[in-house]
Amino acid sequence: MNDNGKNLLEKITDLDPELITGAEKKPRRISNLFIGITSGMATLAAAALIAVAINHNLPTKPPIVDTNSSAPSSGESSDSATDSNNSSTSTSQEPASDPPQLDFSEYSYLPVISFKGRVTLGGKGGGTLESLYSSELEISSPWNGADLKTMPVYMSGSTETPDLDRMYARVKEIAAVLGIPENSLTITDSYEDLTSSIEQQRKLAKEAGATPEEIEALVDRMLRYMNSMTYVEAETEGISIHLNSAYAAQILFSDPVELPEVYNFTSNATTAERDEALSYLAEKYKELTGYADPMPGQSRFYGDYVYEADGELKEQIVNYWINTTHFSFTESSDNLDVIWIYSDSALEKLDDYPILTAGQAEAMLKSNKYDDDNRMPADAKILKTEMVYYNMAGSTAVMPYYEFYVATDIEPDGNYDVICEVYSIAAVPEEFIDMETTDYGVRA
Amino acid sequence: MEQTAERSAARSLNSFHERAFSENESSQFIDIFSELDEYISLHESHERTTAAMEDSKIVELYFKRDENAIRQTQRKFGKRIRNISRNITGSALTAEEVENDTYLRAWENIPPAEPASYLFAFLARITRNISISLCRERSSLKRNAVLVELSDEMAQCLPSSCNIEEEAEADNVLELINKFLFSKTEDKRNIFMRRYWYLDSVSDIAKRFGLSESNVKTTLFRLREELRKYLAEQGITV
Repeated sequence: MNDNGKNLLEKITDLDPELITGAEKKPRRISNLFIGITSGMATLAAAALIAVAINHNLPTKPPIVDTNSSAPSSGESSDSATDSNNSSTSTSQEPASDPPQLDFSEYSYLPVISFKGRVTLGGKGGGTLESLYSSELEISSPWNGADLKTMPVYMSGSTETPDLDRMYARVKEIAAVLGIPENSLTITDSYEDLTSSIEQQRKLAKEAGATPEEIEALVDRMLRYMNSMTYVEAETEGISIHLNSAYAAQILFSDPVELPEVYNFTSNATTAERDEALSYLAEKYKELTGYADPMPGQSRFYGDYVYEADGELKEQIVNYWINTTHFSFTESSDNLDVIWIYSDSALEKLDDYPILTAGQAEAMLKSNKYDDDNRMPADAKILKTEMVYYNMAGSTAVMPYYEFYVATDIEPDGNYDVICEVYSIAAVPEEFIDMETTDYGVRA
Repeated sequence: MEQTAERSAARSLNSFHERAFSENESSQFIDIFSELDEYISLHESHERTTAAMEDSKIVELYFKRDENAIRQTQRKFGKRIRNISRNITGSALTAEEVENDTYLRAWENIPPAEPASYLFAFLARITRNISISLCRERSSLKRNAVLVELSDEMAQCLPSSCNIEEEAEADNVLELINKFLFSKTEDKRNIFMRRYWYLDSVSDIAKRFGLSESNVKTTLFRLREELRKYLAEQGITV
């Protein structure tokens, strides 16, 4: 932590009272336009699942050029102009184009994907600035631009009443793999019977004049949220295991695990050294992950990871984002202190849904379906395209999205090479999504 | 060419692991209860306008050592104090604890403090201080990481030669930041304050101001740059 920054962060407590009071008041809205999903999860998911490297065995490719669509090629390069109004991308002088007309009638038998509770992210056009290394623009997931007609969509049970028995069983299973005797575990959960507190809130809202529909919608959201926040935790000396409602597990070693010196787990490891270290960890914890074919990957965020690379291409793509195991090393001694295992255990496959091509997705993002704040500029310089899945506790539908990394003129700070603006859109066409239940951010 | 991997030390702060397991911190949690707070506020607002005591009268109670001062403070400011703390600490329970500590400190400090014209800000400062200290003392991994992230951003506002450990230097910087912020538009000023004073997440700020997150990040980035240049121009050095 930067001490100067820390001191300043504390010192500004004493800023002028008028500044403090002024910022506490709700502002008049700058724009009435709907800005899309903006929960804390928005920041995290958009930030989290980007530009994860795959191992050396897969070839790297430049940004995707879609030759099958009427949309402009995403490989065209043109620099973005600077907007003086704090926009990092150009404001097109021409009116935005109409969205491409697409026909998915052969899939009309598919049910509309409806979201409840916390809404899955993405689809809101532009919104996130990301600092990247150059190497992160050269890599890609197993999708690698493949021309796929459909991809699976899942529904997550993580907002429903949690299956505590199953969560307890999973925690015990993890403990057993780690060699921890069950009788040495202290297992607790955060589940609460919310009946009385929900009733109280219902009463308060009614007294405040909320309509019955508003009250029930709010209560529904609260219940789903609280259920999705249920976790089970097991502790024993030196280790704690925390499992959330999406069956993601966090294993904390209070006495970090010593690792062989022959592997380089330090922050100055080269990509090859890191992959060697990850391969070692994947093998060491093979029983924990259960992966038939663990492959090393690189996360821009905390730790490095392996994913389940077994299966058909579609499975690999889903696994790349959802079935992953991440490792964290102590800064001082580069021993292992945390393992995170993300899983599709809380997911049930809904069906294979048709998807837009990357070119169609790009055309959609540049069209007048998106408002000025979220529309991709017509002359956007796309540095990379990815197909991603987001899966976090509280997400309901889990489905593929495209992410486009557009160059900005913002100078990167620190060690990074480039700052991009990330535009996202659901790969599943809008006609299959219940737009009323999403914070989708698409406006005419 | 081999790319040297930079590990978690530099990037941990926005860790999706941290947020994946931060069941008690999601801003949507705060969002849902904020909605309820709004409903309740609508209900209570008519009572508040007719019955809420003026700040000067509340301060008078402190001076008289009348314990009704605390009750009136809680009635008028309790919710806002809790919201501030909940936002910083991420815990409703801790926020209640901080609220109580705030009243205690207010009682201890009024008098000699006489914040009749800025009572809310006075209390909010206390709340903020206590909340940040708790986050650090309790080594809450999750909230600490947020504080580290914001500290790093704050550091970008300072010229490289600046060291604000010196009290005089810190006071000088503070005064200049006041001037700098007052020179900005109301929205930009408030975006800065929401981020670095109230410790709002970028997404919450975007929602609050009806902006995209991209816009908010760019605004903050440029404000930090402008502040740094302004401080340098004002001769802030060691």
